[in-house]
Amino acid sequence: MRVLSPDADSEAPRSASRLSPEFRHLQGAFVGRVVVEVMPKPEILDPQGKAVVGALPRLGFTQFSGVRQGKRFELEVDGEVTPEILAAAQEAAVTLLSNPVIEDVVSVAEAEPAEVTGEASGAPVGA
Amino acid sequence: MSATEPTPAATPVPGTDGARIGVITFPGTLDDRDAARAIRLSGAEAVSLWHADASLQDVDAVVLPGGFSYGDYLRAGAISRFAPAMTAVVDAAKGGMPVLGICNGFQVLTEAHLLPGSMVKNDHLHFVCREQSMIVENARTAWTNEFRRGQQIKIPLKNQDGQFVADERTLDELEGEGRVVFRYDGENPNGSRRDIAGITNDRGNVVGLMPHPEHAVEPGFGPASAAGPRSGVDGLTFFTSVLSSLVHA
Repeated sequence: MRVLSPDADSEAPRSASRLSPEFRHLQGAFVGRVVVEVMPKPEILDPQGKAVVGALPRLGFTQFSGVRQGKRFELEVDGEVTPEILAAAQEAAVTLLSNPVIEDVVSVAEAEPAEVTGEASGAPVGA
Repeated sequence: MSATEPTPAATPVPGTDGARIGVITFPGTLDDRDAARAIRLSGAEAVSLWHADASLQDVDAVVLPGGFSYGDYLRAGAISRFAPAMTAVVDAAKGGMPVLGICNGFQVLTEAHLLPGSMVKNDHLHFVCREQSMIVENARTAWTNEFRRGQQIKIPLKNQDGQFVADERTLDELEGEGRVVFRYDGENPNGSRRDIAGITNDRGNVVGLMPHPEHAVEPGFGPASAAGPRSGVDGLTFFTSVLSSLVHA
């Protein structure tokens, strides 16, 4: 016997397993994400990081002697992150997302779902 | 040129009638109209080119003007590099066509690997806008052959990401091969390695620089010079130089 709930007769999908394919893009779990991280090369002076490290002590954060500022890209795909998708992300990382003259790609990896879907168990620090 | 237009400081180059120089406009380009006006003042025809158009319309040379193409998102010049017009520019440049990249255009040329190195934020992190003195180090390129080596010139400089960087080996190569075209004179305005303001490729047809020659091409609107305030027209020589190189090509 089905338990009735206020929206039990609604046509809206209730769980991932009951989503028809055309609605799966609405479900966070079905959006694969690849995270690409890019950092300025160590030998390149990072003016932005230099500005940040100068600002920290003014707020009382005297523990930090250096800051380097990089970039994080989240690439979304419909469906799962396959090895082919990861390879394509690596290619995109070295051709467009970074400039090898001044930057290094430090990481190309599939994101943990909880990391990016906003449904993580813990609230963001400081929220 | 009509009689009412200001007379260029340089003598018109004979035999350059009909020379056509393209100016590419990207989304976010600012100085395309100034570049086109500089080209007309030098005696050539300016041809407007659109970034999404793969055809260069048979122009004889191309200018990539300054601005903030694609809002400088990702990195300055990074997205413009993949515009259809840039594919055509890369091919044409490898065939010897003169290409000048000014400011953002210089950044596009480095992203397209037509010139080495890259630009990062100014070391002091501020936008800088000033009249900038430079020394001409190479007067044999397509865009500088009417200067003389060692000549001091002054044109406007205005940028945020103007610090030229490259690894030591690349810098040594540029110096050893005479490919440093301009060096900042006096105080280095942005932390550029070895005071480099502009460079060229090994063939001398592709030149990129951060300062803006197109803003110093007619009396009344340029930097100060010995002739008085706003009288400087050193930028015009870039455009008469390329006409000269087209005649002698």
